[in-house]
Amino acid sequence: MRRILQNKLLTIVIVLSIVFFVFIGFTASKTDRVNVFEGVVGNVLTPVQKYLYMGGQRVGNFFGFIGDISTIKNENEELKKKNSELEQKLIDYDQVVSQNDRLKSMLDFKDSNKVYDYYGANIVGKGSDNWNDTFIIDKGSNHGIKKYYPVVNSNGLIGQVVEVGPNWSKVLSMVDERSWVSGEVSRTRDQGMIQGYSGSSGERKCKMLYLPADSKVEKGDIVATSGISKFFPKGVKVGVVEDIESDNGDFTKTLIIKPEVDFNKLEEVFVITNSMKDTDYPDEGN
Amino acid sequence: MRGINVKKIVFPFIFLLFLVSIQNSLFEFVRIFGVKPDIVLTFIICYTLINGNPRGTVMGIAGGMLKDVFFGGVFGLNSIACMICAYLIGIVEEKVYKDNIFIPSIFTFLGTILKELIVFALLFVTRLNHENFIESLTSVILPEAIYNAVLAAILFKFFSRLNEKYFSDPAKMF
Repeated sequence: MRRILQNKLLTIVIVLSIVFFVFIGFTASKTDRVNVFEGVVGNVLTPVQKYLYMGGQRVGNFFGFIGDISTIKNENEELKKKNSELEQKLIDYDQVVSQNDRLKSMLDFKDSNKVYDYYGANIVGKGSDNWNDTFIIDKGSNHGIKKYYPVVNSNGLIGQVVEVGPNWSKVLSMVDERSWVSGEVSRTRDQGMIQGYSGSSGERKCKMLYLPADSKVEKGDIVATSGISKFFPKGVKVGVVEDIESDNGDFTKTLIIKPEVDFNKLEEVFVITNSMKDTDYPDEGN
Repeated sequence: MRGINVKKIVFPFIFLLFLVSIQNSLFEFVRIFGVKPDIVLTFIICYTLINGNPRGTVMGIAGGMLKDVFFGGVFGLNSIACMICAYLIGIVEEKVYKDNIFIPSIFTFLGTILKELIVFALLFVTRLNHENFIESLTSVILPEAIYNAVLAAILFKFFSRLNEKYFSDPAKMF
């Protein structure tokens, strides 16, 4: 009897493997919305996770605070110095802005910078394993979130919405290696593609590929989105150049970018809801 | 025919749901070298070691599908991997002496490697992963396997006590 049961189980396992494999193929090619099962489970678990995640964040922050107490003093000094510097810059900035306004009105110049609508969301969980850098936010299609909407916080770019549930969405962070963002080195205006990249010791970083070999980029330069792709608005900060690698044939340069966002301490994010037009959506055959 | 205790069939799955939400939220803050342990997989393996095959595989399927809900992009990778992992452990389980304290750790270690290798292979086949195999092995798979093995050593006793009290069904479900 047990023998037959075992064989039955083996058959079930094989059949289910094939079913899941077909499902993988199906979902890998197009994933716009979460499937029914994901929707139901996500709706049930999202509120629970929200509180657990917030609790964990607090505990983590508390221990982090104790650990950091010695460095806080130094940091405080530095910040004070920086603050006075920045205040000086702000004065200059105000002057420049007023000058700019004046000149603009003289030239009747149309403002090309769109004003974006930001929709606040809380992070309620991370993807459950070590293979991908996705996380779950507590806003979904009920709040007007759609696939491909860019996700940012005050430090810069975080990622992009990849799947939308009724009141939750999955966000692919830009340090996941499936993520591609068109970027630009702010100082030199060199353009390239930014891909997620995990360092050997698990740090979350990005790589900027296909940079021209004659680029004068230096370590410490700021990298931002270029706005060439329709998915990301122009000028959102991505990170700082940490390392520069030249290709063997010297055709292109590759930059290692340290993101400005601390991906280990994300709590609140903003989804930009009006940077994409409906016509910007790629034709996916649905 | 004694009546089947419905509570004892449902409890393990409720506990699994609980573990999945912990995995997605709290475990984010116990990363070591960028790797976090997988308590869901650890539980599936321990549960299979305790209860043997039909139930272990069922738990593997349920746990895998729940993990897939929060896996970005594709659905099914973890389902296949956890199911096969639980099934194989369920087969071997009959043949080992389980009272040895190292057995859960060893099985969890090997089971994690097996599961992650299946996931890696599937990611590779579906071209979602471009990572170097050796790098993935040393920076993700092995650390996670060690991490899970430690977790299993700590939690196996707890799981088996929970199993005796709330999960195991004297009426033999299968």
